[in-house]
Amino acid sequence: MSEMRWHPLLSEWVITATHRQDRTFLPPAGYCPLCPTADGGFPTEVPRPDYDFVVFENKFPSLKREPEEPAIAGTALCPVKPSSGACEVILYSPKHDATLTDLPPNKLVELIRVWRDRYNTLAARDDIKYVFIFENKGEAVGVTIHHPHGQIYAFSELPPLIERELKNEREHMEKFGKCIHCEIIADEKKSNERLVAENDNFIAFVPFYARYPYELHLYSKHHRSAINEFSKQEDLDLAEILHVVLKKFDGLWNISLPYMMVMHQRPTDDQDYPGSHFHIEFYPPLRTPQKRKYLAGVESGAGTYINDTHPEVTSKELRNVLPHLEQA
Amino acid sequence: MNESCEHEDEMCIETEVKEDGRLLTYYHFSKPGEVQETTGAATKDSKEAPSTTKAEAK
Repeated sequence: MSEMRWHPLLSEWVITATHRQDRTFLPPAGYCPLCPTADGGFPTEVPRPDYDFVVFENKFPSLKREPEEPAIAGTALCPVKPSSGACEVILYSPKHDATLTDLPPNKLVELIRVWRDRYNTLAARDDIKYVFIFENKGEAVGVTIHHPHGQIYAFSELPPLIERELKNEREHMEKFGKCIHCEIIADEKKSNERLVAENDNFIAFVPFYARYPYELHLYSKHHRSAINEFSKQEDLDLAEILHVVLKKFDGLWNISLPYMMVMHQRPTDDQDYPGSHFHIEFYPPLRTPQKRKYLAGVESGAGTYINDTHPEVTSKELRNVLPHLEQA
Repeated sequence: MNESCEHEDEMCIETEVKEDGRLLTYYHFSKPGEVQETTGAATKDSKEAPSTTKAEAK
């Protein structure tokens, strides 16, 4: 069962999705539900192996295209509503042991086009207000299936962090007449202390206010509000810098670095968002190869992050990693 | 839902409906060799204007 319950203290929706308790959890080798179905083998999610990328609706979705009615009645204080939306899975490769980091830039250009197509397709739905493209990589961030994949949540309500960011974008625009993200980029370029990678159209840095030790933000240098505004050259440059950043992550400690990768861009509710600025945020959960950054009492209970490192130091570490790049 | 493959530049999209009603969409990008084989042309322009059937694209 699935529904959305209103949290009156935080003014945000909480999704219940009890069926997800039964989802596949770290299946043994040979029983991956995301590998192509083998001849004579058990049926997996993907019957055919001959694809570049494949997208399908999650078998255990938190948000549904045709949601059931809530199983419980709400109250005046805590209303409930159906968990309307969509949860999609994007497979990056038929190969079980590949990662996004393994994809050469020309494949990443293709992936960018797939992301764009999903953004446009889901945005066309009247009930979708926000298309959230992301990837959880590694067991350290809760991955339950290792086959390389990303996800898309299409929300019928603006998610709370997104709404907060939009509010600050709007207020900055009203007060100063400028995009707050463009100003952040200008500040980072001017200081030149926390830059990690840069090309003609994109820039990556550990932000001044990083909450995780190796948090990294990858920005479009030009004021583009969403992935469907990029030129072909911008697609190429995004693929190139994404490849560099991912290789630097793995080269940091010579491990396949776990991370959360999230895409922030313009909502899809047909409202005006002049302050929206496309960017990708990475949150690697490790602070050393052996130690995790936990979201413990202060982070979870008070909402204040404590970063045990200085972004000026961690950005230098990432900057100094010489990535082993795949050929396009 | 698309029953057949669609083309937009060199990106081919094919959507199926799974037994439980979920949508499954395959993305295929025509490669230079494939386009050369199906069109007889090897220019960049011809790569971006691929042929029109799933069989050719695949």
